[in-house]
Amino acid sequence: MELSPAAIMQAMEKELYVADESLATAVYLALKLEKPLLIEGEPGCGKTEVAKVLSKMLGTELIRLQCYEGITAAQALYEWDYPRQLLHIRLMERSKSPEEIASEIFSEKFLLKRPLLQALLHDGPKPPVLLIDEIDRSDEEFEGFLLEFLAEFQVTIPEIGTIAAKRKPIVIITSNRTREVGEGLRRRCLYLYVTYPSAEKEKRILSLKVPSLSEKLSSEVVEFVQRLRQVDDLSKKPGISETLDWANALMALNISEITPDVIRSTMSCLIKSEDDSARLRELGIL
Amino acid sequence: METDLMHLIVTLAGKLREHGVKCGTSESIDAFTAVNSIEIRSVKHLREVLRLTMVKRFEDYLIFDMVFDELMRQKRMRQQRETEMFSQGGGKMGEHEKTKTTKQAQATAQMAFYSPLEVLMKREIPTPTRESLREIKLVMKRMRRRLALLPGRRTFRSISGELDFPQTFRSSLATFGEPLTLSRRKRKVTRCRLVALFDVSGSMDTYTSLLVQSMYALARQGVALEVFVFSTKLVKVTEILRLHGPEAAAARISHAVDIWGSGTRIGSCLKAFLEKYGGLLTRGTVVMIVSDGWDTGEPELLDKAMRALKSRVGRIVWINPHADKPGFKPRTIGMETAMPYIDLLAGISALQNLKGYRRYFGLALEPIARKA
Repeated sequence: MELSPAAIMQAMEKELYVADESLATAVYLALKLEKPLLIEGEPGCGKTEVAKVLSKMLGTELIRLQCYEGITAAQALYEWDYPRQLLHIRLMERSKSPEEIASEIFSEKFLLKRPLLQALLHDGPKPPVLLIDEIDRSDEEFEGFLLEFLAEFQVTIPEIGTIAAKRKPIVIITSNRTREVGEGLRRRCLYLYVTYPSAEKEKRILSLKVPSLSEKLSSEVVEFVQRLRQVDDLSKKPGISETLDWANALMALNISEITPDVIRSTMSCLIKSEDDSARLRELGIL
Repeated sequence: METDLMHLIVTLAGKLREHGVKCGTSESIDAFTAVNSIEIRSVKHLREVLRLTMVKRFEDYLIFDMVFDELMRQKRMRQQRETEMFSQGGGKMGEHEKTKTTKQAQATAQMAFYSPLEVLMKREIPTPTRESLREIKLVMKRMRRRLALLPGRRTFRSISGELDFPQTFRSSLATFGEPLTLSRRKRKVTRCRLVALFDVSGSMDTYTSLLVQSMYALARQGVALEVFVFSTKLVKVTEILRLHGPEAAAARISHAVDIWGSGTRIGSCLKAFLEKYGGLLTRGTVVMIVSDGWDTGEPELLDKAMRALKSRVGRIVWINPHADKPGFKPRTIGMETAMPYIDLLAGISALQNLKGYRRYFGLALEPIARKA
């Protein structure tokens, strides 16, 4: 496939993802410059989806590392399979010499490959897409470790040796900005901020993802959601995923028109906290 | 075209740095490679490509756009002038004179350069500057660590505690798979669930800018954190602080919170806090109250609220602006009432810089042990 931002936009649309020009350019440059792409933005705006669609589009594997508080190198990179090593020793101690066993239990067979190592060892025809999701949830120690990994794309396992990536994986990092991602990591990445889509874009997304939705209902849905996003100080504004949930819910309920009653009974799709619904009731939107 | 672009990128990077955006040589190189590896169709497209490579945080988007637009405007003006000059003088003007005028034009253009930061400063609430924010962020980071009460996900080896299977197995390999010693581990206390209540009443007016900066820095320290402001009523501002840049957040808070500079009713605000947000409070929560203790409400109410609060949270930290003064004694009624329930009293300099922080929280990084 000949790469260009326009081609990427088209290819992503084929995978049911509506990308605007800045996103397509970002993806193109990430591929071209072989740099990780750091995507920040509101929850539910399709950050994670970028990686998924990208892997489908390129016809390669998606390797996902979900970050969480306290994640360590052992959970992200590799760990020895201790129970299996132990069993192996027990089974072999009669028949083999200690040296033989030692070389056996520290072989790749007993290595638990976590996502980052998987990405390094990936052996497919094309480089894999490595998604490092919600980096802001991990702590700074882990970020430092990641920095080193992203710079070299190689790991040293004391018992085996240094493993280097044959091809650099395509790295997509997402963050919800609950914590500020460090300067060092930012500097190594291309940076893109995604926000809520415009009304037209959202309509396009709806028509792609929920094709059975009628034109009229789709515009009503989009109009209402856009209005909700205008409301100040909601603790969680509805993202695209919420809009899609709502549209699907309306389809499932066989609703053809949005009335205040309908809104009230299906609000759980859009608004996820009591404070917010109280605020909306106050403003007379609910 | 190439040198033109390079010139543009270098000027852009310089201007960005002037405005406090971190944009180094590696960013400029990236920008140049990017521009060369892509077909630029329009100015808008060029802006997007440059922004992708040169700006690394959302807060700087606004500054980048302004700087970029200004540079483009200057460039257009220069081109216009040049074409005018050629058509007027018909090439008669000497080379020397021409360079002089362009140099002059450049100088004025640079002097008239519009500073987005300066304009943003003229808001009702002074907006945080990047330098002071950096220091305050450091303070907050340290404070969070120091006040931690909850075990985190990291562990340390210890004699008691849960069994550490990976370590036991690993060490058993030395004895040929015979686990002779059992390794155990405990979780390190590293996590802090922090709820901060900032007093924004009239008596705290002098500290407004510091308070806003602290709020902003604090709200961005992680997930388990909530920030409230109070005076006559209580308002939750965590989301506003989290979703916007420092300037926008300050503007939005001044807009959303119509209670700046009014009187204080700490007692009733605390009561409202306990009722509405009681779910936030556990023995692992640290409550930080930033107030001078001038209370126009009844002391009984405050006493009751403080007692209830104390029984439900792990630690109460009170930051009082007057505590910095030598010979400070809690004399205001509010402060006297609250004193018995406070675990740690600090002056407002503890929020301001590391020096002030160390005065009250000490040099250590480890969490302060919980009182028996």
